[in-house]
Amino acid sequence: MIELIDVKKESEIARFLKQKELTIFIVISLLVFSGVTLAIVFSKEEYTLLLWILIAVLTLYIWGALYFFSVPFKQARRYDRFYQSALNGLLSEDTVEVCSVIAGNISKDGLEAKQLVTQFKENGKIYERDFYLLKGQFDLKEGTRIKAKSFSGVLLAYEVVS
Amino acid sequence: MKNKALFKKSFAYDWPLYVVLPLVAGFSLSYLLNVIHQPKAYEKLNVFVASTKIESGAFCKDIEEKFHDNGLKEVTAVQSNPNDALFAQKLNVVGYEGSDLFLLPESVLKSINPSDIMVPFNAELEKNYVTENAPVYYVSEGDSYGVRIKEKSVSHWLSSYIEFLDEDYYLCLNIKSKNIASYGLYSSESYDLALKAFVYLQGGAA
Repeated sequence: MIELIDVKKESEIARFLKQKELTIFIVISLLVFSGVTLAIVFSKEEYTLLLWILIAVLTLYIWGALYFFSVPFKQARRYDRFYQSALNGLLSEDTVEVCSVIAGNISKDGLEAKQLVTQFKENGKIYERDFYLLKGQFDLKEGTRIKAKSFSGVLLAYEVVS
Repeated sequence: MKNKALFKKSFAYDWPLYVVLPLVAGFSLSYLLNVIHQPKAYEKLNVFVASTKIESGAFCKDIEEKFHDNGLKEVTAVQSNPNDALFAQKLNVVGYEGSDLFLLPESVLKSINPSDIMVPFNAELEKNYVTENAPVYYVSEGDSYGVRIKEKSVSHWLSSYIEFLDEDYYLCLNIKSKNIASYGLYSSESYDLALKAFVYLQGGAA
């Protein structure tokens, strides 16, 4: 079986990345708040200039924090959540026939992925089944039958059947 | 999806936060700094004046400028007309609770019990802080509670700021003031701005 994603390893990496980003944010926040607190406590009576400087610093901090929580940290948390679920959840194994890999990236629960279109036969009927490719190279030709191991639609590993 | 696209997407929903949070932070900072730099009780003076009118801004500025180097940061004046129905209440609430000095006509002093709220003059206070050579005091039950600073029908240097009633006016000290060294209820030897202003208001020179 060709493994596209080593779930255990990836979950450790995702957890580490999430914690690293959060730690950096907490350290920066502590520095900013300590600085602002010290500036307020030791401020002189004529504090107009200081006030504007502090407003500028806090504005940058708030914008940075909003960006951090809405983009990089949100992504890191999504990956972490997905890999943790994949680690503990039920994996499914299906035998399907490769149709195509759609060019361009799409979003699978907020995660960047490629879409693999496959089909399978059941009771004489053909059904379409989509998989998502988070990582790894996938260059099988159309019509190749594979045994796909997936979690929540994300292809984790496959084995060429014919 | 690249970070830029993700940011654009989230910004479309979150943009009010990018506006509101810095504003809230700015106002909070301004409020905090304002609170921290508010003058302490021993850095401000309040004068209660019983008169028909007062040029409050100029009067306060005069005293503030005079004692700025002594650490005085804020002077406020509360004016009330003794002929107003609410005068007694204003004197009771604003004057007794928040003023350091009282500038009152004789008729008002007669209508109240000065021993409740005013500093009785002792020999030391009279010697150090009364500037007149032959001072006239307002005496009640054997104690002096105020020094006359303006005689009836005679102009005083404060007349340029205050429209006095046609009566004798006395300058008194609030016993609850924190600016009268150890003469009041609070023993704060080094905080004597009200005493300095007391001297200044008597003759225009501290």
